[in-house]
Amino acid sequence: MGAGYVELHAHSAYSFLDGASAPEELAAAASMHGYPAVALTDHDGLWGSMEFAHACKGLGMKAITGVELTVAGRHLTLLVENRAGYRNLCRLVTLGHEETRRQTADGRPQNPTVSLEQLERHAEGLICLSGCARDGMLSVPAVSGDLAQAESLGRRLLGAFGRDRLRIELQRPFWRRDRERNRALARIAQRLEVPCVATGNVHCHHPSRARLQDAFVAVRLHSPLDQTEPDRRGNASSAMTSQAEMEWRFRDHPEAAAETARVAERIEFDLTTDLGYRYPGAEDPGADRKLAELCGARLADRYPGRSEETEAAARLDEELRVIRVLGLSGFFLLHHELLELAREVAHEVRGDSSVRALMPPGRGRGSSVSSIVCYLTGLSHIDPIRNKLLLGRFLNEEITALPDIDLDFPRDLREKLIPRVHDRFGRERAALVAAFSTYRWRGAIRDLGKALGLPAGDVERVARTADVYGDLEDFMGGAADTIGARRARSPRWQALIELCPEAYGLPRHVSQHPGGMVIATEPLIDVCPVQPSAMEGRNLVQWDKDSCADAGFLKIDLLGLGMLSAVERCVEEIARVRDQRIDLSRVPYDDTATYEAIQMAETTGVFQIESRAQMQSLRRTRPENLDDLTVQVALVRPGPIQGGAVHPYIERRKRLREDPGFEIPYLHPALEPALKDTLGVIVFQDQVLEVSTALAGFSAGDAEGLRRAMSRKRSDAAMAVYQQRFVEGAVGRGVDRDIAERVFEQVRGFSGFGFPKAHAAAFGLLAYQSTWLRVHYAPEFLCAAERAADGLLSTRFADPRGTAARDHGAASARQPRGGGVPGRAWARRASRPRIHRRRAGAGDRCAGRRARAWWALRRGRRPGGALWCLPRHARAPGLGRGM
Amino acid sequence: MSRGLYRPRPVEVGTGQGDVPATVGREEVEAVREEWLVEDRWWTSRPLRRRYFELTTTSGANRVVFCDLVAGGWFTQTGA
Repeated sequence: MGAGYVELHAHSAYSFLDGASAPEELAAAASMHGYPAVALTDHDGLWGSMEFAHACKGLGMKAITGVELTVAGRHLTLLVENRAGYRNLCRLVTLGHEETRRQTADGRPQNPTVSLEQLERHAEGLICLSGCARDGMLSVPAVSGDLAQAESLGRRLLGAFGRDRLRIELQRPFWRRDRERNRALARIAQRLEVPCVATGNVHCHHPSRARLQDAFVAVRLHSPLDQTEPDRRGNASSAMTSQAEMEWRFRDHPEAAAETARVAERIEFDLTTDLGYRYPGAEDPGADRKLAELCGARLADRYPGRSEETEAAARLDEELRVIRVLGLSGFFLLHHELLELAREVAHEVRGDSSVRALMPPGRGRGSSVSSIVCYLTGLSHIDPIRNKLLLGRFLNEEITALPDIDLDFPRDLREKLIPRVHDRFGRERAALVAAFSTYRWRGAIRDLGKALGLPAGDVERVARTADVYGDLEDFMGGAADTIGARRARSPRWQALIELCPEAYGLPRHVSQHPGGMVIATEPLIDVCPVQPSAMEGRNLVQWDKDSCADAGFLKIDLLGLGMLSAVERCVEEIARVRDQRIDLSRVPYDDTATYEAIQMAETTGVFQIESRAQMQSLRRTRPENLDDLTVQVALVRPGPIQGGAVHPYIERRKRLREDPGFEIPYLHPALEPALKDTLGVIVFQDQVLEVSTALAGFSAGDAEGLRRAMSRKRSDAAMAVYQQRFVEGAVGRGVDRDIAERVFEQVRGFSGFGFPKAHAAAFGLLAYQSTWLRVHYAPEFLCAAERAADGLLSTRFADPRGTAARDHGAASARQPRGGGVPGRAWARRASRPRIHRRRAGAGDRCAGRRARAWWALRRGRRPGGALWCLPRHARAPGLGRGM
Repeated sequence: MSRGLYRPRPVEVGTGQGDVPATVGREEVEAVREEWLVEDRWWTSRPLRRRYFELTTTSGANRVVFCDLVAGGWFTQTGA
């Protein structure tokens, strides 16, 4: 790396409501300007660092990891020189966030900050630049003329970092006192005998984005743009610009510009390779043996004397071999340990005598369900042999990231389980995965409209007409229609219309992933900063699920599934009311009445197949078994819909019913093995893998790469690369180019979102079980489902004494006619939860007939043709005579 | 009158290399003390883009002038 300018101070949109460009945009701009290296230094966090490091790596640039840290209320720019420096930076950022959930005297959350003493204790391996022009630790006293204080602070930093790793930071934001400030800072540098270094304090990747940066500042300060002039940057010079332009800006301090390259050159740390994370269990030499023993013992229990036993044993051997090769035995043992922990928690939550005690604590979802190891260790409840589930999507020898194991739990159990995981592994070694709330149309319109000082009522009207999932064209047209074409041309509205698409997709603030947890052997705060979550006692790592996956973190998803809560409550209610103990793992999977209800779309309230689109589809696809239901669950998803799979599948099912000899048309004969079960169309994620292997000769790793590119938000460029490889691969195998292009278009269309087959099988089973309960134990099931939908509102807020829980019980599903509660008293009691059901949106699907439908539900008769209805044959003993 | 203190008044400026002022009125510029940029009010019907210079002329006077990058023209601004 020769002389020249390298940007060492840049903010992305992960400097929330300050930076206005995504890390990828900054990386692409830096690459376009020919920078050999570039740093990302967001405020007090590393939220975007992994994303940035991978973006730079893909563009052949060195990514420098750093942070603009608040130290005693002032800013310092810290750059990671080596692994020790990275560990110290993570610890400093973690310390900075420790108190951020406490409020200041005026009721605001505290901003992250560390003390100078804390900084001094964690200085090793970090390069310190003295801070920005406005809030820098040395520039603030220098600008105010207190050079003695500036020098004294500088000497303290010198003591911590030494002459090797301290640089006095000069910036040229084109403000009035730039030259004066830089002259003063240069004098201090001379006295301290350390070099100056130039930085651009970049806040966006292109000057056109500077307006959005202005607006973000106004949003952050909750003030209109007209009132935030002193806090804004004042011009567009904080955009990423060329090396030549930066060298010109620092023509008074050419050595400071040249020093940037020298600093960049000595930095060795690469976040994509030097993280040093090891997951728990990876260090255990006996893990392979323990896992094999555990699975072997369970194999005999699960397949005793069954015809599949030999196949299962062979499959287990193969899986254990792949797991050994990948060194993942400890990973599976850890998941098993977690499940055992969940079992303990379930025991506490459910109690000994409850019928719920018969049920497993949770169940797997996602691709892990296809693994026989997961099945045998209790992580999955689906038999992969019987359900013909392939392992490849979950585990193959070419995987580059740890596979996901997602576990669903009833909500009450999950609430207790997460803190127990924190306790078991320690708060330093277990934390939740972060998520980022990103701007969508409505949020952008509201925030930016307010910043622009537009009338609140008009802004709200435009926001409400915006289609949440619409594209830019929808948004522009909708806004102009709502406010009128003439007003839409006014500068402020025009600015709103132009800024919203720029803001769309950028992160606004940190939130919490629904249930993802990261667990580490070493303290997590050495590999990623940790900050307190909004929920007391919980911590977040600063990376989202994609960054955690890129980091190779062991991520476990402990998800709350409302239907599991409903099913458990239903089973409990059946035991209470009818004195029957239902074990859902033993219900018959070929129950005619259940499939009749499914084929008639009498599925309101059941899992997954109750939406209007599902109901319309059910009457045409007419599922007859669990395999059909697996396809059904996966069919009405954005992926198959956008991939054009739904109508051909429905049509072909109909043709097959009419003519069992009907031949399924395939775009190419090589696709038949992969697409036979779904009648020639792509319904499952796994089929993308199979299709790319069969048609284009992709390896399992290539195919997995394609799947990841499809499922990530930031993957247009990656998809283009895979398209070329797919088509060329297929053509090389003798496939017509046009056919290859058409198949890839189906694959691309599928990239919206689709289920892996194993996940669909798990959900399909729960859909069947919930329908079975609905058909055979309708009053209990509907009450449980209703309470799962709005239970929190009605039982916790409306009725702190808990009587509403009884109101929601099966015994009060209808007005008892045979005495008991007098009519008026019942009506009073019943009206209370009904109000809250409405608030919670329960019964919304009855579209305009909600009140009638609820009344009909209580009286147990069909509401005039609406789909909301109880099966006529359902009778519950001891429930009065209303059914 | 303080109201007129910051009001820009047109001024004749001759520029040299890089569009930097070389003369202001009849006086030559001896030194450019500072240069800054103001871009503001882009959301209104009167957006503002000004390139400011703080100058010392040969007579020893300090002058603040700016080039209006939207409408064009040079202005002086006393009190700025």
